[in-house]
Amino acid sequence: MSEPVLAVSGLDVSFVQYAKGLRTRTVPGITGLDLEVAEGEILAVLGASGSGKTLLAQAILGILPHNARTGGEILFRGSRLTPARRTRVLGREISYIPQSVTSLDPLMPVGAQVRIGLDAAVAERVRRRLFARYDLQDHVAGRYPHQLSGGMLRRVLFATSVRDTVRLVIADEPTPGLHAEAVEEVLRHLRELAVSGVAVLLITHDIRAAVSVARRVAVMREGRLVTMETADAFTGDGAELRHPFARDLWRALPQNQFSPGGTEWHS
Amino acid sequence: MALVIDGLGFAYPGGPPLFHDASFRVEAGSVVGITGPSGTGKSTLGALLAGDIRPRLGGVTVDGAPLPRRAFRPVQLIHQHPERAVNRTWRMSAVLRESHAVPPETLDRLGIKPEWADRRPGELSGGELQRFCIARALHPATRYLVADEMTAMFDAITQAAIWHRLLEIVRERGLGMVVISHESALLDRICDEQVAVETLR
Repeated sequence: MSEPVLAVSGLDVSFVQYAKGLRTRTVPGITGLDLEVAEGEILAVLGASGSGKTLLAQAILGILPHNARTGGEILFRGSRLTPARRTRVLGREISYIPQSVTSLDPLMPVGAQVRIGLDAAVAERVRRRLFARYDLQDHVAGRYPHQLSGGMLRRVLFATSVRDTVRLVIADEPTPGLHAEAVEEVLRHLRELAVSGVAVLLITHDIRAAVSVARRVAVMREGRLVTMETADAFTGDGAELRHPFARDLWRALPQNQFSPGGTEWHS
Repeated sequence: MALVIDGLGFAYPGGPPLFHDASFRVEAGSVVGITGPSGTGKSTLGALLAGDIRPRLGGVTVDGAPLPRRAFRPVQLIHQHPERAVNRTWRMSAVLRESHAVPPETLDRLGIKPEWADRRPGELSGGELQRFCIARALHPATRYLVADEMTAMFDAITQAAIWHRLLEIVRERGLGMVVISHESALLDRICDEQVAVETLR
């Protein structure tokens, strides 16, 4: 088997906080996390808010808050992601699709935002190709973010993140608050990336989204990876799921039992 | 006893009319879901019902009386993004007090831990913060609640827990409720009735 694109082993993230005066305390964020993502694979990381899944993205990208301390190892294509290596690969080989469309610059036309980081000689040609790929009409390039609908902004975000040289895409909560067709479109774009050989780390709390695109689903809780499930096991009453927490999550969906812990709920 | 809009018209400045002649009714004690794709006016309808924005035509009445402009509004809106609904420089105890002295029992039922009261909004997760926004909306004079994608950021277990407890309180007090959501399975679960926003134009 070929080397994984991303290999995280024994990752610890903690925060040093001032308690009172100069006394500090250390608050754990992630503890002993191991995971791997292969070429062409979509791995979903599922967890509640506060489970540490966004910290995982931040640790890979090197954008943790200043008071964070990290331990363990993050390998990208077989070698360590040092700060120097990050500056070379971020945006070229590793790209990040942020959660919120407010990450776009409100004062810059979206076409120019898609050209950022591209070689000047080919930038406009690549921009046109990306627009075509994400079903954005050419005249949209001159518009500003506030002139576009939420769905178009999502597609612009993809166009700003996707480059021919990209090997790993980290998508942080790309689906909440979108209607069903828009969610399906986001997932289709992630699938296309994986088919072209990109490794995709999909961070989400949306179980249905995770299960419909990923083959494996890593479930996080309170900073730990509690179980790695296959997407196929999220079916029926969840009896095929290995870990009780994964079963509880599945059964809590409104289309299943809508139970906050075990039993069916009746309105 | 109902929350009623009648012949309502609304447009954002310079924009096309979003509602021409919309009529809509929520009986006290019932839960009504609002469905529709993004950008079709669901959140605008929620803000109109709660009096956060004013209609150009027609109006909103609550149990027969017009929605008050300057007094406490008996229709309370709970937003999708709680961090935008609270003053970021206040401690959570002050955020609650802005509404009313929320009984400890209500805080407990919504899963709000006493030690969170001293924190500021930035030191809580979105889910923790949203519980405060729900507690705050449950003022004794509240008659109707509008929940706009209230649990879109929650994991499934927390979503189920919050809805169970909130609906319990809503039922005990005989409140009416409007639920705006993209999640059709959630609306199927909790609503007595569902209305597509497109049919209200």
